[in-house]
Amino acid sequence: MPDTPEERPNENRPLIEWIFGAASAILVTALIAFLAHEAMFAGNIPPNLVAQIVEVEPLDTGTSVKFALSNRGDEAASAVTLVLSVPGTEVEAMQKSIEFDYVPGHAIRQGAFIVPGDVAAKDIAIDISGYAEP
Amino acid sequence: MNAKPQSSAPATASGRALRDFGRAAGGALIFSLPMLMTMELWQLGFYLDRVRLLVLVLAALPMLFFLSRQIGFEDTRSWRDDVIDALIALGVAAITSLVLLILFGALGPGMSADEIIGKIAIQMVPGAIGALLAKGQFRDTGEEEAEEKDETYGGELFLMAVGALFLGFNMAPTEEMMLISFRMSEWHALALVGLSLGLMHGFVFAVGFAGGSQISQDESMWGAFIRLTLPGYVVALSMSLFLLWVFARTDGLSFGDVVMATVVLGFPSAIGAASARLVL
Repeated sequence: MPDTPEERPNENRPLIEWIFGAASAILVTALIAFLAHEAMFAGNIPPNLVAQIVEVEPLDTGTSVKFALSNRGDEAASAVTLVLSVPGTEVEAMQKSIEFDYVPGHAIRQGAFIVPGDVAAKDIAIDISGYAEP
Repeated sequence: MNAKPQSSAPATASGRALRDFGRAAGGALIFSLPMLMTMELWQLGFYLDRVRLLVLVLAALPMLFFLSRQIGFEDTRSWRDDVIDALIALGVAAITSLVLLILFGALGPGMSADEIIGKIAIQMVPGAIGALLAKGQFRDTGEEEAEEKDETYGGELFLMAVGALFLGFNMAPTEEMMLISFRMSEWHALALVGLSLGLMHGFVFAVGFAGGSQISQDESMWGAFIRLTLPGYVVALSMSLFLLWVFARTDGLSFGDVVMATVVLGFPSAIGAASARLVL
């Protein structure tokens, strides 16, 4: 880097530099406007978590229970624990749990429980045991 | 009697090749070590969508090529040399990553080829940047005295992009980036945008830029802010969004959460972009 910079007043700058600058100014202004709008008018509904079974699929070693966990609230939830319960039917009564590190607001996370034996969707219950604030 | 300084440059071609490889490996090590010792990157190596990994590596190729051209001191350097340098940098970075990941126990027997390749491919990109830069930094004195080429506005923005990519790459895979964005309110994000722009502008003025688009004493603060700082921040945000997408951090997020995460990662990326002249 030279120590003696070339003198280049503003008016001598190529037009393309000002065009890039103006386009960038518009984008950054839009970003600030969006954040300001969200800050003033966006809701702050606490986490509203809903778990739904998406698919129950037999495996060689048991049954895969795929589920979708959605957060219909505005705020993120962390340490979300899901508990799967299978009341005693063909297999023994059991409980299994999965923990999600976090579920952002208006986001969906997916996962699967693996349970032994052949289990039907109607015999399965998935509950949300709770969450913590991030 | 004063002894004449002895040249440490190896005389033979094989000696020079070994020295160049050592320099490149040293650069790759310096730039990728924090990532080589980060658990999230090991995990991303086996679960990251292969299309995104491919996009990352394919995007790295032209970036390394232009970086090689940018840090070269001679205008006469051929395009073929830069292509070869970029490929060698990737190769050196791959070897360095392979050796260290084996030493750290992150690679070992029982792992599939897919997992091993994935883990190395992720680490190759920052390592290759380091390998290329080390070659530029430690080149022989005689080469340093060669005439420096004029730097263009596009070249400055490109270096900003590489600086943003490098610092952003360190942070983007970590859980903390997302956690911070969830803990922050939009007011915090607005303050972070202001801080990012303020620090960037401070760096731009403090460090200055060589060649054609350097800030002169005649240029107003606002002129430099519009020409360099704002485009630099947009470049940093773009790199942040790209990295968040590559590392699957945007999946399942609402638009507002993606913006928040981009602003959070945009902070280190902006520092990387503005300090590219120091770091690179």
